[in-house]
Amino acid sequence: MNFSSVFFTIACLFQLAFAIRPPTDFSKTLVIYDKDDTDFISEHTQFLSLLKSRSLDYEVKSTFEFDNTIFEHGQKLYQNIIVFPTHAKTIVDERDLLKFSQKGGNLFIITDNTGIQTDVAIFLNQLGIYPSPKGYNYVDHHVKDANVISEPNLKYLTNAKVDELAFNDGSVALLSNSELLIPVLQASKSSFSANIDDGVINRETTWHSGDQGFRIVGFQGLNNARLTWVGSPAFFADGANYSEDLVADLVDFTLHVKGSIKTEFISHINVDTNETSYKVGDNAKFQIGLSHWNGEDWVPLNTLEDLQLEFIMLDPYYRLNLTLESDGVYSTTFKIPDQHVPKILGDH
Amino acid sequence: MLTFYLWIKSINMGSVFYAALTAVFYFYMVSAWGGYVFITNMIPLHVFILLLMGRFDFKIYTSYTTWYALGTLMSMQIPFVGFLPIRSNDHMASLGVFGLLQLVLLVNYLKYTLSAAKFNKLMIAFGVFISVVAITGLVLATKLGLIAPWTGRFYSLWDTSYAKIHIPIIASVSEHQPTTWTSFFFDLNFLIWLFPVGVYLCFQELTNEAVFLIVFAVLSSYFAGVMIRLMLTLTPVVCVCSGLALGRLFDIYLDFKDVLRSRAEHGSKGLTEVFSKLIIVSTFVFYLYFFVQHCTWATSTAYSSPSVVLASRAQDGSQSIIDDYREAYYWLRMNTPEDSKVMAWWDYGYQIGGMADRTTFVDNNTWNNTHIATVGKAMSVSEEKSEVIMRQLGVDYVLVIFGGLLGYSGDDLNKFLWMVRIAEGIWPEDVNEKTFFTQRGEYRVDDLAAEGMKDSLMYKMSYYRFGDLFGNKDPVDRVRQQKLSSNYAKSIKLDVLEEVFTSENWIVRIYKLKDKDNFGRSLIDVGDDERKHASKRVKRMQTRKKPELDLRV
Repeated sequence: MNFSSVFFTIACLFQLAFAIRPPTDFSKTLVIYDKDDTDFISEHTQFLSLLKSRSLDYEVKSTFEFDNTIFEHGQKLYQNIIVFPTHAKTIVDERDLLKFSQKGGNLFIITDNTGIQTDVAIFLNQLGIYPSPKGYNYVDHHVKDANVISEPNLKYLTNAKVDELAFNDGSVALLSNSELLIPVLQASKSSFSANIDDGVINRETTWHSGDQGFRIVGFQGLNNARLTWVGSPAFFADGANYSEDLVADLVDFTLHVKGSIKTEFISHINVDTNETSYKVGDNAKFQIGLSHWNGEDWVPLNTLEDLQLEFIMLDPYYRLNLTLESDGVYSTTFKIPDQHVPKILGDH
Repeated sequence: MLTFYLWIKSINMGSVFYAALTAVFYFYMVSAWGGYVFITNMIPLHVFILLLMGRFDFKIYTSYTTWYALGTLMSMQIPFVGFLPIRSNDHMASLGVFGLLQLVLLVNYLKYTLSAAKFNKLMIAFGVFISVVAITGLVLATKLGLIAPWTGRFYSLWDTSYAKIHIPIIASVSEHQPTTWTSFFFDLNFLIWLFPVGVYLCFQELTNEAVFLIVFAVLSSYFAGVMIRLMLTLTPVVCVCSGLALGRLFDIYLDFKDVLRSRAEHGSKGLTEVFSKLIIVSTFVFYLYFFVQHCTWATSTAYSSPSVVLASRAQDGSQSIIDDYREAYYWLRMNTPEDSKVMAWWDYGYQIGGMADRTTFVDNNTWNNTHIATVGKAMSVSEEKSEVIMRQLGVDYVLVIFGGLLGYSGDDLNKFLWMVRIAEGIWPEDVNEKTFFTQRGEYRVDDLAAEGMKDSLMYKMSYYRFGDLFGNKDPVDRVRQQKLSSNYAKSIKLDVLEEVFTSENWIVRIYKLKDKDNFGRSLIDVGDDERKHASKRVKRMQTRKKPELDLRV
C-alpha cells in the first residue's frame, strides 16, 4: 500500500488585519473607468491611495485611453484589473478575460443597474454570476431607501463593521451553485428586482426575488485566480459613502494580499515501524504543514479548527479532523483499514 | 497426467512409496494450476466408485490415505490454498471419502468379529447415526461460515446458464463459454471418434485402471462441454483412450500370422484378407500421418501467435504484422507521467501493467467484481456521469480498443455488452442493458443506434473523429458491418476527454481526462458553447435573459 498520490486542495479564506502587499512580485494593476466619468480620479482618491498603500504599481485609464490590450506576446501585462461601471462597447474581449483569469490574473469588477458592459457580462456569466441587466430595478418595500443597506450582513471575506452601506444604482446578481463562488452579501429577504419597462410583475419580469439575489460576490478559480464582483460603485467614491474597511478587505482578497494559504509539506509515517510503507492494521500518522501570507512573509498558520483528512477508496473511508500539533503543523493518527487506498485528500 | 499414472500404479501395488510420489506431483499441480480441484475430486470419486463396486482392498486404503494426508498437507503450504482444503466445499469430497474409507475399514473389522445378526443391527444404527452427523455437520459448518460455500465457477459447471444470470464476469471470459463441436474437432481431430471406442474397451475390461479411465473420461467430457478451457482436462484421457483403441486395432489388423498360416494351407484365398487388412492399416496410418500434420498446423496458427501482435494477409498474399498494441503501450510508457493511472477494460490490465508500466484500475485478476463493475459503469454511462466516476477513481488516461477500421472483432464494442451487464449487476438503476439495443432488439452502432448506446462513453470514444477519416464518404464499421452517415459520424463529440493517441490502424485509442474547468463550468457546457460559434450579439442577448438556475443553497 503506497500513498502514491497525495492531493491537497485548499480553497479557503481568512482575515488578517495588517496587509501590505501580495505575495507575488509582479502586481501591476490596471484600473479602468468609463470615459464619460471625467471626474473619476478626483472622486476616488481614497480608493486609489488604498491601492498605493498595497505597494501596487497601478495605472488608471479611461475606456478612451485604454487600447483594449491586456496581453503582450502572450504574457499578461497586468496582474490585476479593476473595472468600474462602463458603457463602452468593448473593453477587453470576453475570451481574453477568461484567458487572463486562466493565467492567474485577478479581476475586480464593479457594475451598476444602468447597463452592464457586454464583455464583462458574458465573462461573469461563465463563472456563474448573472448580474441583472439594464432596466431591472432593485425594490424592497420594507426599507425606506433601497439605495442604502443598513447593517449589511457581510460574510466570509470581511470582518468590516458597516452601519450603512451606500448602494446607489445597485444591481443584483443570480448565482449558480458553483462551489467556487463566495457570496459576501445577500439581498434582503423582502427584496426583488423587476423590469421597469414592464408594467406587471411576474416570473418573467423579475430577475431575483428574496435572498436568492446577491450584491457582492467573491470567486476563486481552481488556479487560485480571484475575482470580486460588486453590484454598486457607490461606496468606492470619496466622501461619506466611502466604506474604508469593506473596500480594503475586498481589495485585499482580490489582490491576494490576504487569505493565501500555502502547503509547506505533507508527510506520513507508519507509527509502528517508522517507515513509509504500510500494511493492514498499522497505525499511520499524517502531518501537514501550513503557512499563510501575513502581508510581508509566509508565517505558520495556527488558527484552523476545521481541517480534515479524507482517506478514500471511491468514497471516503475516514474523514478525520486534523489537530494542531506544533507551529503550523496539523496531524492525525489512524489505523489503516482493510481496504485498498488510492488517495488521501486534505480538505478545509 | 503423471499424478494419475502414479495413482494407478500405487493402487495396483498398494505401495506407500508410489502414493507419496502421487502426492508430490499433486502438490506440483496445486502450485501450478488453479484447476487442481479437478484432481482433488477425481481421485476420491474413483475410490468411491471402486468402493461401490466392492473392489475395496487394503491397497486402495493405503494409497488413498497416504495420498490424501500428504497431498493435503503439502497443498496447504501454498499461500493461495491455505486452509481451503478443510474449509471449502470444493474439497469436501476428498475429505468425505477419506472419512468413509476409515468407516469401511471399521465395518470390515466388525464384520469379522461379530455375528451376522448383531452386525446387521449395528450396521443400520451406525449408518443412520453417521449420515445424520455428517450431513448436519456439513450444513451447519457452511451456515456458520466455517466452510466456504461453493464458488461461482463451480456452479457454472453444473448449470451452464448460472453464470450468465448471476455472475456476468465469469461468463464474460471467452474461455468460460461452452465448447462448440467445431472446436472439439479442431483440437482433437480424428481422436474424437476413436475416444468412445477406447472407453468402450475400458468397459469390457473393468479393471481398477479401466474404471479410473472411465471416470476420468465421463467427467472431463462433461466439463469440456461446459467450458472451453476445460478442454485441457479432456485431452489426456482422449489420448489414452484413443491410444487404447488404436492399439487394439493394430493388434488385430497387423497380425499376419493367421494369414500366413492359412495361405500355406489354402493358397490364394487369403489374399483378399491380406488386402483388406492392408487397406485398413494403411487408412489408419494415413489418419495418423494426417493427424500429425493437423496438430502441427493447429499449434502453429491457433496457439502460438501472441495476442498482442496480430498477423494478417495483404491482398497479394504477403503477411503483414499489425502491431498497434505494442505501439500504443510504448507510447503510454514514453509519453505519460510515471504515476498516471490508465482506465481500460480488464482484459488489457496485465498488458498495460507489463508493457506500458502504468497503473490500471482493473486487470486480469478478476477478484474484485465491484471494481470491474465500476469501470464498466464508467464506460457505459453518459459522459456527464462518467466524468464523476472517473474523477472519483482518479483516472488520468482511458484506453479503448476499436476494431471498426480494420475489422478486428475482438474490440471493446463487441465486449461492451459484458461491461454493461457487469455494471448492471451492481447498479441496476443506473445501467440497463435494454437501453443499448434498438427497439427491434438489434445491436446497432450506426445512425439508428439506441440512445443508451449513442450516449455511452465507450461508443463516443470508439467513433470520435471516425468520420474525419473518410472525407465526405460514409464511414463503415468493418466489424459490425454497419454504415454510419458522414454527418452523423462527424457529430459525435467528446468533451470530458481529449484524444491524445490513436494507433496506426486505430485499434488502440488513448484519451486523457481533461482537467476540471478552472472556472467551475461543466466541460460539456464549455464544449457546447464552443460548437455554437455564437456571435457577440447572440451572446449579448443571452446575458439579458434570466438564466435557468437551481436554488442556491
